[in-house]
Amino acid sequence: MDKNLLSQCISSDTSSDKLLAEELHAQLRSELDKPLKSRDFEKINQLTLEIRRLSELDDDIELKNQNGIHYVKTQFKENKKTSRRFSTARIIGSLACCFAIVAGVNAYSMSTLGMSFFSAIVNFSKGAVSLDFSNTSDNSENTDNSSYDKFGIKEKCADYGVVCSAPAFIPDEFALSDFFCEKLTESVACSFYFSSSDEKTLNITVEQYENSQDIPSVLIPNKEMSLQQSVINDNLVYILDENNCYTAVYSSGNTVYLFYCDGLDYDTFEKIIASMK
Amino acid sequence: MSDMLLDSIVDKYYDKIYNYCFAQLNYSHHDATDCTQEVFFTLLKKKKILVFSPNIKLWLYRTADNVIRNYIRKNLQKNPLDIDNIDIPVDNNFEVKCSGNALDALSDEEIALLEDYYGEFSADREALAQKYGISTGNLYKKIHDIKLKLR
Repeated sequence: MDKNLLSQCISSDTSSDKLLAEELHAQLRSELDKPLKSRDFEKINQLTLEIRRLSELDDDIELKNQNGIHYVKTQFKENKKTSRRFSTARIIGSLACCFAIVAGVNAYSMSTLGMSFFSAIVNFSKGAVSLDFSNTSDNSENTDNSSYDKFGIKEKCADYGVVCSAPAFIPDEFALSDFFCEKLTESVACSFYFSSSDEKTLNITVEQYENSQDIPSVLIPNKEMSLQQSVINDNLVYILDENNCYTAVYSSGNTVYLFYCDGLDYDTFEKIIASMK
Repeated sequence: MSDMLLDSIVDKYYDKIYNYCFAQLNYSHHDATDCTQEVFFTLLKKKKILVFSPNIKLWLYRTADNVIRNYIRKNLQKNPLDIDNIDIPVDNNFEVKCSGNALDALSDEEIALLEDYYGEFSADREALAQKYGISTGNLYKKIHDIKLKLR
């Protein structure tokens, strides 16, 4: 084809970008129609980026997103200043370890805990301990709503469709300071925050999944942490001791229970877990 | 360290979560921004639960799905996702830019593709894609990239 004619064809073509956009849109739609777990998030990201670039609004969006990132970070800092509830550096330190391990940035020695220390439910990978709760049995025989539940944990959870156990024992010094519950795609999570006048804290989180197969493996960073397992009320409970702050996790059926305390002695902490019924 | 971690999560995932929201909210920047920020505020609220989360990325996308669903229910009519909601510009000055010896900047393969695209296969782009062993999407992408070279 003559180059001048080809130039003319290119010049008069106003549809190729539109056709490309439609093609990208169709691929994006196809990916988004899949169930969440089957979606290729990287592909979705790339397709959306292509569409953004085609629209030539990309520079503007990029600038606005930089502002958005700055705004979110500012809100994080403001929240830290105004709310003590979420400011436990230790917890974030743990999250930091999780994140680093998941990202493959860091790797700690598996020998810290020892392979023979746990039962087969525990898997070791990249220096962290992964707990698989997907096949645990349901030991929640006593989930009746009786008067022992003075903070109304069961009632509040029931409002969100969560049937769970609750502790019969919580030390008198604690008062319920906050509660929130959220419905997620595959689960409902309810968190209860207790505090005492001398700044002890106790958090109990109940996360109920549609079925036990949906429960993700729990990854626990092991750096400088003492992890032990204990059978309490027929449940295999994993307990982390981090400088006398204790975190415990166990599952019963399709429900995961998470406990965290700061300022309590271990015996009291275990007594709270043992009182779950 | 704690602040650094949260900041690093925001830095790493903000744009990806934004794109995920943008794609599902009819390519609306305003709606996507609202939902993206809501996802990260939820992250802030739920830090304690996430202590045990092995997969921050999946948690963020799962939360984004939840936020988007609630956002649509509260704020938007359920319009189907439509590419016409995004403005794909037409370059009216392209003729000027494409004149002269601009085609000399292209390789022989690129010229051949353009000749096929605007010539023999102008009515059947699927056949052209088959000839080159690529998808029609990739064909349009190649044409788009070649045209970008000419600008």
